[in-house]
Amino acid sequence: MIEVEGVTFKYEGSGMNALRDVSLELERGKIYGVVGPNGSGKSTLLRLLNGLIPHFYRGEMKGRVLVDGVDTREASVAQLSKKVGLVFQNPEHMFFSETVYEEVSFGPKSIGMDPEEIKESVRWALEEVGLWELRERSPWSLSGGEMKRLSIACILSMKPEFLAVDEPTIGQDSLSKESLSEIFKRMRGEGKGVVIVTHDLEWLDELGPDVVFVLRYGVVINRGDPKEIFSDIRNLATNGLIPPYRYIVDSLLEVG
Amino acid sequence: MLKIENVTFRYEGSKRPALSEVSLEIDRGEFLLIAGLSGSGKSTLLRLLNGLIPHFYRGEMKGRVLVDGVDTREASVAQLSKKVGLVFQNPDNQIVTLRVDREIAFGLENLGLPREEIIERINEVLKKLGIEHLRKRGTAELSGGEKQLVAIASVLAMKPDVIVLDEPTSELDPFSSARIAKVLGNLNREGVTVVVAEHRLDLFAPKANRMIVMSNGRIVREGHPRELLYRGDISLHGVRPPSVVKLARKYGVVGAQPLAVGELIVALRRGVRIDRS
Amino acid sequence: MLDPMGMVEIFRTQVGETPYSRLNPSTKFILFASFIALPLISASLPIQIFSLIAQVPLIILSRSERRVKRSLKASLLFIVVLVVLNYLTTHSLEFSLAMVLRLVSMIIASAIFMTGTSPAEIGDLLTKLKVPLQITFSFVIALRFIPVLADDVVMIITSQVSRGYELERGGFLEKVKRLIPILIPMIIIAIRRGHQLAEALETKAFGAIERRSSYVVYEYGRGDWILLIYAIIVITIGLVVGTLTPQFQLLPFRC
Repeated sequence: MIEVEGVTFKYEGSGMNALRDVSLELERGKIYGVVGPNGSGKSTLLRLLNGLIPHFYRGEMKGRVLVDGVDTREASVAQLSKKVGLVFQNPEHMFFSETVYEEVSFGPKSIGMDPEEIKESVRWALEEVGLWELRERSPWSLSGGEMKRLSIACILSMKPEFLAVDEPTIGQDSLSKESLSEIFKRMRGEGKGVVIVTHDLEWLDELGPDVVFVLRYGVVINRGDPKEIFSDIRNLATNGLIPPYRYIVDSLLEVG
Repeated sequence: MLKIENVTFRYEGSKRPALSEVSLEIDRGEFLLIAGLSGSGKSTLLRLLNGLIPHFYRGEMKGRVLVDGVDTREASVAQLSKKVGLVFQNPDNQIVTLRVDREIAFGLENLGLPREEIIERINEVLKKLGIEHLRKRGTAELSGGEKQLVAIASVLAMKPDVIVLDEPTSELDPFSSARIAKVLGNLNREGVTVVVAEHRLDLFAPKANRMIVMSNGRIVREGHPRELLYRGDISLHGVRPPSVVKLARKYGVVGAQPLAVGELIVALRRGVRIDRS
Repeated sequence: MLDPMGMVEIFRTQVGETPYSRLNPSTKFILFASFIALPLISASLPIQIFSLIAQVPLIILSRSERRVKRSLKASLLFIVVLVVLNYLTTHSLEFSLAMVLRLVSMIIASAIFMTGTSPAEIGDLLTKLKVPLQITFSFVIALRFIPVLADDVVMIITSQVSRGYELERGGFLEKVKRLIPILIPMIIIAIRRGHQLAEALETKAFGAIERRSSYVVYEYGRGDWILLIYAIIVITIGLVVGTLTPQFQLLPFRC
């Protein structure tokens, strides 16, 4: 379980708190949607989960984050990456290997998995995202959707119990979005906790998260059942979010 | 005005052609939406229109492209830039100067326009896009959506006959994306010809009056967005109808083919059969 | 640990609105050149003191106290070494002091210029000085892309760290090898950005005609005239004082 307890964080050199007194709990076997407009603190929240904050980004932090009871300040990002895998928005920022296979084995090697286990987990990760057949290709020769899935495999191969994903659907076509949904649902089915930061409520609604958090100005202003949160279209709109179309239509029909 | 005649193009170093026997005509005043999966040939098609292919990208090209009757092979990209303006996907990689007004001036300076005219065009285009407040801002401090608007402004200022956009919203959040769609819709209403390749059909289909679907380097469907999106078979090419279309089907809307939420609401309120399950 | 945020911030220093920043860039450049020249007129102590005092109004106009302080702090070690070397070779405290003040003067002049002149203006100045377009443009493009690439570096490092990567581990060779996961994505991304930029430039008719027109025109306002006259007066005084005060002999150590 990940417990975020009363965290306030301010980046060095910034005049404003990126997060203000945020508390939440994340469990295994669930999909969490984190939504909010630009600059609401969504990405900061993700960085908190695997210790990039406070280990990497400098700033002032109050409160604490516990991953399975371990304070993230007491563990290194490398140690935490065995528990919480962070998938970044732009996959191109991570590729440096000659083949897809090598790329996916980088993470497990870095955290010191033994060779037999690496073989097994790389294969598993590549099969999960449907790229096993392309394992001999260069990461840079893949399409945008394949790159995205490869970046997920690179994290999955480290066998984290939580997957935290930043804006997975940006730049993706409809087919790729569908396959991302399938991957995340399967991860949930396998008992992993999946945290997804996104603007794309339409897609999030189709994915069907268990819990949704709405962030604004670094504060969790709303949390709970996605149906309830998405139905409140006025609240979403005033917070800079576009509600899923079916909720817009439903609520406009009720008004009429 | 723009005419692609039976073009096949293969990038140097690539085995299969990016475009195969593509023919397309674009008329003045149109809003053409190009749909299709990533890698279906959309970007290649757009690069043909302003001569980046074959002038900038090397490869093997068959067929020809005519811009106002001029073969693009006979004209330079710079000459074509006065006719066809191209806006790219990533705003960060197309902004070349440090301040918004200078960015818009950049292309005009390259054309050697007198200063008075440059100023006039900057004013005009900032107003048209509703971004007058950004005039003196540094380009590095803009949000992604603002950057893309500035990129559009800088191309628009060159007064091309057609503005062509390659997935202009793919890096943007939904709010900024909707704004870009709205801006393009307005421009088209004012007479600007717009060609846009996009995944966000929900935002762009309501603005377009023609749509093509590409798959494996070919144009596989062509028609009005309503006609195409309400015909199930585009799913075969990986293109999913937008949610409004799915909802219209779910609610059993008959006699109307709404593309925008507003249209759907109107259709539903008009008492068309509502079957809410 | 690396400090990527700090790295990015260095490139993000913005030029604030001050009376100095609003001057014509040519004026700023002339002032800068004058205050680089002034301490060089003579090695005498009075000239050095004079050139320090004469810069005070500019520091105030450009509100560059902080930058000046920072620059001086950064060159402290160099200054100390200079005093020691000069004193050891000349045994003249006055001369050593003059040399140090000369250096300080020039540091201040640069700090003022850099605080109050935007990169775009420096680009324009280069154009005005008849530096070829290709060079001035490369300069502006570099400035435009430094923050973008700095962001890339942060994202690359954090991406790799999140894959269990640790930069600071092992001996020297090991460390160099460990840079590969950072360097390769960086190079590939920079090349891709460059390629797309070239496409955009082509689309905007860059290099289409020999003589580009120019949108930005700088005018000379009252402030410019006042400060140009100020520069002339200061230099004149400097020349007069410089010839009247006794010169030091040429010595092995000078700056």
